[in-house]
Amino acid sequence: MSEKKLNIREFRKNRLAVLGVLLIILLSSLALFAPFISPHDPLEQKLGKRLEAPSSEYPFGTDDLGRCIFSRVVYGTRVSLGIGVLVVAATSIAGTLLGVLSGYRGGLFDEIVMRGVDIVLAFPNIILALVIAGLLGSGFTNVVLALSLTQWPVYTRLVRGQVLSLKKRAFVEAARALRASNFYIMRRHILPNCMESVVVLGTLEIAHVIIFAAALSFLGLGIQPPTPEWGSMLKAGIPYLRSAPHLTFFPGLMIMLTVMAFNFAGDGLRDCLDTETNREVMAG
Amino acid sequence: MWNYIAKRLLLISVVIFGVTLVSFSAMYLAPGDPAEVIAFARYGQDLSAEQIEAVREAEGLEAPAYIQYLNWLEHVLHLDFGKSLISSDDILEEILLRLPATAELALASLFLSLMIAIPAGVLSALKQNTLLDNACVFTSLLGVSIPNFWFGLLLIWLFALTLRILPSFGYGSLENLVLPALTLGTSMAAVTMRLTRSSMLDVLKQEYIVAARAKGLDERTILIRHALKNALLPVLTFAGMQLGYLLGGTVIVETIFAWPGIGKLLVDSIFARDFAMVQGCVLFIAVLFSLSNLAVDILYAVLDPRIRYDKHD
Repeated sequence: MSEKKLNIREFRKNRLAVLGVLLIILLSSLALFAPFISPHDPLEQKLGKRLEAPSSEYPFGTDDLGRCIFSRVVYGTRVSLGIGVLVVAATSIAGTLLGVLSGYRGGLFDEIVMRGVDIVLAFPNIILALVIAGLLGSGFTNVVLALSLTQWPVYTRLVRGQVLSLKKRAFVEAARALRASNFYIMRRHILPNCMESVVVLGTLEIAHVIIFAAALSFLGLGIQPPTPEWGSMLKAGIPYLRSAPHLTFFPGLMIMLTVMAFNFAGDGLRDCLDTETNREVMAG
Repeated sequence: MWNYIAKRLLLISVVIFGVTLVSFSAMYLAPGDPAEVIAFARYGQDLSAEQIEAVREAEGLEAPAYIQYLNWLEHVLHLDFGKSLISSDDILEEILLRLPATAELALASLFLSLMIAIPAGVLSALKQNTLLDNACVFTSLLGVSIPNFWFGLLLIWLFALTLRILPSFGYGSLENLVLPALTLGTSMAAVTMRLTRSSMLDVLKQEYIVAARAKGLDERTILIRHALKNALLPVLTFAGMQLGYLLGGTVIVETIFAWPGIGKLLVDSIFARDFAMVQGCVLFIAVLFSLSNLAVDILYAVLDPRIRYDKHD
């Protein structure tokens, strides 16, 4: 695992990647310290102050119900990051384990798992999540569930590919010759060597999931008002696009910045991997 | 080569079978008794028990799930997707009615994206680390991160509301197509550009390029005859991923611009709780996607002889 040390040095040289990490830290702070950073209660409606332009009192202006957009955007960080981290944590763990088992054992189990992967991936990205979230109903848990059900296959595919090539390597054969149990081999030799690409994929996936979740809410299917969520805030701003564009501008900007942060960081991490693993991760 | 195609077709059949299962189960996702949900969607608030039972009988919902599935599957194989639960229109007909609109949007976006991305990617790779390259890379990073629904709204704000030179919704003329295609196309272009660039960079390092140079060929011939062909191959494989993005993206773009395509039909039927329509749409889209992927795979196998002999999963 001496590759890890090389990674960090190379990573630091990549300015965009470092910027990404800094942004992530900033956003996480916004999420954690939201109550201290937002000037107003994100749910408080002041119908006398609807659709006000940005001012010193309301840095991003107010929305159609007189709520402070800045506060809502800040609290929205909690929702988006929360969904991103939860979904990626769940899918990366489940998907990786499945990939390791599937790749290592091979046989019928492998075939079945891969068909499962193919079937889920046969639906274009958002469509399956749309249907699941749409029919289950709106809400945080349903969004997390829907996105988890659609995002796990990318990890399985990636890890399985790696396991297949790792299986043939000398140290695995050596371990077998020493009569190590399969479980031991998987845990000690196979899994650690897959982790790097999983970490890269996971980072990039957080970006994906955040956009998907926002898209679902934008369509009216994910997280709905009054919960502050960037996607649904965009949707609420549409009728006022001409008269009060700030309703649409700021939430969208936040989505872009957040996604950019994770993309930069993930790209930076990926560039530190060797080219072969690099290409596999890119395919995922 | 036919071996390869046969294998892929077999695989696809298994996958499509699974897809039908998943599509069918959509109905069971919504909480509550399906008969009640359908009756509510059809008749509104005041439901009598008889109405619910009538719906249950009419839609064959008393039968156990697997029997319902098999019935549905049998109909589907005869190209009968059933009727909409709300409007009683023939589902397949409704889908096919909207297919041209989606196809128009998809093709226009794809065309736009390739027109932007491939030249940009190639140039960027050729002039690596120059200002042009850095600008392109940064723009594409931005483009990949920008949510297409926000970008679409920005375009509407700029071109439709402020400058007033393009319509913000509607379907029919070329001007209606511009903003939707731009929204979808530029997002895709960002991804494709990155791929083209990195693929081109890889190819340029290869031995056969060095060999061609050693042979004394001029840069132009090298570029066109050797580099481009090989660089574009991975872009083709990723075309599969692009197709997925395209089909998924149409859902959002069609909703924003009120574009009467399949994506909008899907979203509308989800809201209307028209399970039958949702099943039909999802199935249609997934099958379309699978077949397109198959076509791309076969095309790739035709273009790259290596894959035919060295196919490993």
